[in-house]
Parts: sequence; C-alpha cells; structure tokens
Amino acid sequence: MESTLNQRLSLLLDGEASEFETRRIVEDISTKPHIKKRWLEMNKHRSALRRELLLPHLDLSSKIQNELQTPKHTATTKHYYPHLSWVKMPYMRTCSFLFGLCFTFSFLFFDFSSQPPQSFLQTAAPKTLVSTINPVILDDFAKNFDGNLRNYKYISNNQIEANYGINGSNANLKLKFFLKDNSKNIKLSSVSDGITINMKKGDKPMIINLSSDKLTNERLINISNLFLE
Amino acid sequence: MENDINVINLVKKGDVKAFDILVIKYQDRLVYSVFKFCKDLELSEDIAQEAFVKAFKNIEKFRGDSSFYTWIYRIAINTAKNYFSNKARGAETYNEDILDSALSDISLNSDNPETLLVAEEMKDAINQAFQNLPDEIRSTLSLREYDGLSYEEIAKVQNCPIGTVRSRIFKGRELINETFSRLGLSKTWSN
Repeated sequence: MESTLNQRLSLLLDGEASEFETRRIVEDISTKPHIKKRWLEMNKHRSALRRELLLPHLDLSSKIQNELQTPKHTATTKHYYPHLSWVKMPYMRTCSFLFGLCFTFSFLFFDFSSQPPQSFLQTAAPKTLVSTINPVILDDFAKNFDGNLRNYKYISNNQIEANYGINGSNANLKLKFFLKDNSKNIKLSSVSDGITINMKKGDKPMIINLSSDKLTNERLINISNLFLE
Repeated sequence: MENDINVINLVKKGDVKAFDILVIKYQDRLVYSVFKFCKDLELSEDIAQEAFVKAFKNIEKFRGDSSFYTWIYRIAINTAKNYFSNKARGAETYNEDILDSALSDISLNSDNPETLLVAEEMKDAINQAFQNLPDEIRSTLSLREYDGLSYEEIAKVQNCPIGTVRSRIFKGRELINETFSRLGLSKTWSN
C-alpha cells in the first residue's frame, strides 16, 4: 500500500502521472497529511540532490494557501475575466473615461427629460446576467441527486459550467447554465449531447444542459426535472 | 523539461489544492534562485511567496511554451527587481547605479547560519546516498534528475522498457529515503 503510494508520488514528481491519476493524488495530498508529508520529503530529497536546498524546514504552502483562500484571490473571481481587467487594458480605461466625460457633459448641455429614467440606469450600470446565479446554489443543488460539486467556471459572462461527482460511483455530471438576454439571439454554443431544458430565471430565459459520461439519459431527465420543480 | 501540464490544468479550473502541489515542488528551487539574486534568506522567501501568488492569479496566461518553473522564475526575478527599484526610488535619487549597489551591498543574511549548515549536510548526505546506489539505478535516476529526460527518453537511451525506467527511478528514491531514515535525517523535513 505504502509502496504503491510512493510509486504514484514518484510519477507525479516526474510529471509522468496520467490526468486521472494526477487528480487522485492531488485529492490525496490535500486531504491526508501523511501523504502531503511524503510529497514534501520527496521534493526535499530532489532539491538536496540537485544542490538547490537552502532551508530544510521551508514550507510556503500553508502561507500561500491562506493567501489564496482570501476572497480577493479566489480563482472564480480572478482569472475567468482577464479580458475585462482594467489594469491590463489602459486604453479601455482611457476610452471609458472619455465616454464618461462626454456622457456627463451631455447631461449638462442637452435635455433628456423625455427619456424614461430607467433607460439611463440600464445603460450606466448593466448587470451581467451570470451574476444572478449564486455558486452556493450550485453546491446545494448537488444534494438533490446525491452528488458533490467538484468545480465550476464561467465560460462567458452569461454561461456557467459546473461539474459534479455522483457519490458511490465514478460517474460525473456536467451542468451548463446559460442565461439568455432577451435582446440577443445567442445559442448555447457547446451543447453537443445530454439533456437540454428551457426555463426562466426571473424574466430571463435560461437554458440548462446536463451531460454525463456514465449516467443514462433517463437519469439525466430525472435530475433535470428537479430544476423544473 | 518538467511536465506539470495535468496539475496546471487543474489549477486553471480553479483547483487551489492542485496549486499546493506546485508550491511544494518548486519552493526550494525558487527560493534558492532568488537568494542567488538578492542574498537575503528572508527576503528570498517573501519574494518567492509573492511570485507564487502572482503565478496563481495569472495562471491563465501560462500557455506551456516553457516549463512552469521557467515561467515562475521570471515572475520571481521581476518581483525582486521591482522590490529593489522601489527601494532605490524611496531614496528619491533612483538611478541604475543605486539599483546596482542595492543588489550588491546586501550581504548574506547571517540570521540563519545553522540552517544553511544543516542544508549543506543534507546535500552532502543525499549525494553520498546517491553515489551508493546500484549502477543501473544510479544512471537511470541521474538521467532523470540531472539531465531532465522523460521516462520515454530514458527508455530509448538505455534501451529498456519504460516500466523498467519507472521502477528503477522509484527504487532509487526508496533507497535514498531509507538511507535518510537510517541516519535520522528525515525528521529534519518535518521539524
């Protein structure tokens, strides 16, 4: 048992573990302290062998984990919208500033009294549709079909993809939530299989696609009915 | 070149735990590299830590053109350069000479001479254990650790099945670990 574990860690150390095996070991290292300790040891041995070891007790992992766990660094809020980063796109900031300036002056010099007030609010502060899907709901939803949320990510500003594991089996369930803006006719681009249902979230049409590598369509329909309920 | 693509793909999906794997794997090497640049142990740790956080925040930008270590090394060195630039600017008379002197004047932080000594002993002990390995195992492990060859490449070089390479490398590591345990050095990592 111990030998098998060390073999797996040895493969991971050399980047020779398969994708599936990597996922398993990552899970093991993060949940079992003795495996994490062995992983640390193996890496210390390697560093010493390559004469790159300065501090035998050095372990930055917990400090870094703590720092990454704080909300401002969580992956979901961080790197899914790199194209919207103001810091990285100074020209957009400049354009926005100029646009805002023109907009402000337009109010000073022109009469907009005939315009309904809400149209201004919608233009000035458009809400991304996806923000109406709370990730906590994704987690709670898993309880309905005895699953657990493995991860989720924003595919675009109105599309979320969530991956679930089904407890007691190695089947997975992939859910794609797509909120559709009334004004645009956008199709759910990457749906190629599984069950797709149309429903409404507030006044917005919402499409949910369910797919799985192992679950039957009948089971997917049963799960999709949970949304309709 | 180290192949961390599977772990990095997990990190790109938002798996913070997977990033832990990379931190443990590269922390010693990165601190060592930064230390060569700034000659201060504590500062090297801080810079390495900041580099890891920056790497996580920008992991989407890692396209795999180079190894993960090469990528994070660049981040760390730029972080160190910024640190020294800002420090020089703080004197309000920033110029290249001041930056150069900031880099060269900082002497070895002498708060941890014992730690450095222990590390040196570790390196000597592990290299001794490596030299004592059976020839076949030592040569296979050497191709992996010092030449950075993949298992497949080693199998071609040594004209043996890839499974043999895998088991030789594993066996070599086990033997080194046993030597360490026998000498009571393994406790050092967890202290």
